[in-house]
Amino acid sequence: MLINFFLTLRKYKLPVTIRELMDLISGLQHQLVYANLDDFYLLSRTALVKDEKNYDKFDRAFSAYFKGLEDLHGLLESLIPDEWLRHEFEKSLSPEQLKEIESLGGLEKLIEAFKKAKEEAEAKAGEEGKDGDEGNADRQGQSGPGGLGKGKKKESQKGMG
Amino acid sequence: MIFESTDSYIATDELSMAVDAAAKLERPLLIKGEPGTGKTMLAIEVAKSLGMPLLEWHIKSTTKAVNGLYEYDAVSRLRDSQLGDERVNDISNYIKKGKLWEAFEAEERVVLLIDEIDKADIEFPNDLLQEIDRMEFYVYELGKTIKAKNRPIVIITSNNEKELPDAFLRRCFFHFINFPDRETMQQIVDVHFPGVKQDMVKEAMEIFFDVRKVPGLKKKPSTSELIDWLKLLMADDIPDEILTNRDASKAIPPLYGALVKNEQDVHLLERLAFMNRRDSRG
Repeated sequence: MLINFFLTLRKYKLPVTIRELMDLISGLQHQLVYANLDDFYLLSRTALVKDEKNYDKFDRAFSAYFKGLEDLHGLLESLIPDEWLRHEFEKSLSPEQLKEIESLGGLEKLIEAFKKAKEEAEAKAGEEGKDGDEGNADRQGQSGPGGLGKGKKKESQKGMG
Repeated sequence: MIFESTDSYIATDELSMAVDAAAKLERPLLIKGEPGTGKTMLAIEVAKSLGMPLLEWHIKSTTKAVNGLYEYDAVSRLRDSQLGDERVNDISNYIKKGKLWEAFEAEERVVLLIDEIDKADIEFPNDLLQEIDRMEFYVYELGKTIKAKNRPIVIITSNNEKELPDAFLRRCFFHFINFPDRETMQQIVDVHFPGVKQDMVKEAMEIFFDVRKVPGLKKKPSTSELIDWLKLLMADDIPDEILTNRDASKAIPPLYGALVKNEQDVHLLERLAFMNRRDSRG
């Protein structure tokens, strides 16, 4: 864990040692930082940099490393199989909605239909050119996920509260 | 007598070879390397893995070579003589054995660590040449020679703050502990913090979903903050080609195995992924 981060710091010629990396990991273990990169920045700087003249190097290395991570949009999604998401989605529906989906031929078929509709709408939007923006707005309303998503939001709030 | 990685110390092949050679040929082993690469730990682990007692001699700037052999406590003797104590007649009562003496005298073979030899005076290593080489020394006060019953395995560490004399270096085996490569570092971290990544992922998700309460938590993170956090935790597991191509949509083997331990974690991760997808589209 954090080994690439550590190696990035060394690449920027910061004199960091494994002992200090271990201190940092141990700090994370003790919940000094949790899901907050600003706090992580402060903790890692405290643990790894022992001379104020290296702060600048550290800042550059830090931002270079996290820029790389930031760019990985959708990473988590691509790592998670689709059926998980489907599974979770089904749980958010009421029995009536489930029945309705069933009567329309099952979730798989619906998704196929949505995809097709979306492609068609996109093609249409491309042809329409100037009116593309409006077309987009319409499309979202039509294609359903938005509507269903709303329903899910309420449910999940209840569940979490 | 083979020294290998233990469950708390990762030794490379070269290091194992150096230790074995030093132990077999009864030469001191001089260890150098960057701070924090485990020089001192090495002696502790060698002793543990070979099942020998460990004697540690930590060197300071004021340490003299003779401190390692013995010290003659003249002040105590003078005081005892004034008080008329019987002990004063036997000078050996006032000889305090040093670490080398202890190591030479031990009934079984021991590991002797001379830690940070470069802290001491430049003459320090030279003063120990004879003792280390022949494993014996002469005690003037007692008029006798102390000879090692079993030649100890001597491990000497240096931080390179001072050059060591050539005559001393000639008598040692030498090993430089390289800064570990990524793989070795991974092993080192795993040895010291087994399962830390999975634990932290689990913990972060539990806090996020209010399964677990943490006193003093400033505020609950948003979904995107949590996602960033997970990225940070799992960054090492992301294959290089994805990092360089910046394209996560390419078919890659899912890494959730690296993140989760049990079914409950999987469930939390599912929920999170779902929320993330919804948020990013909404």
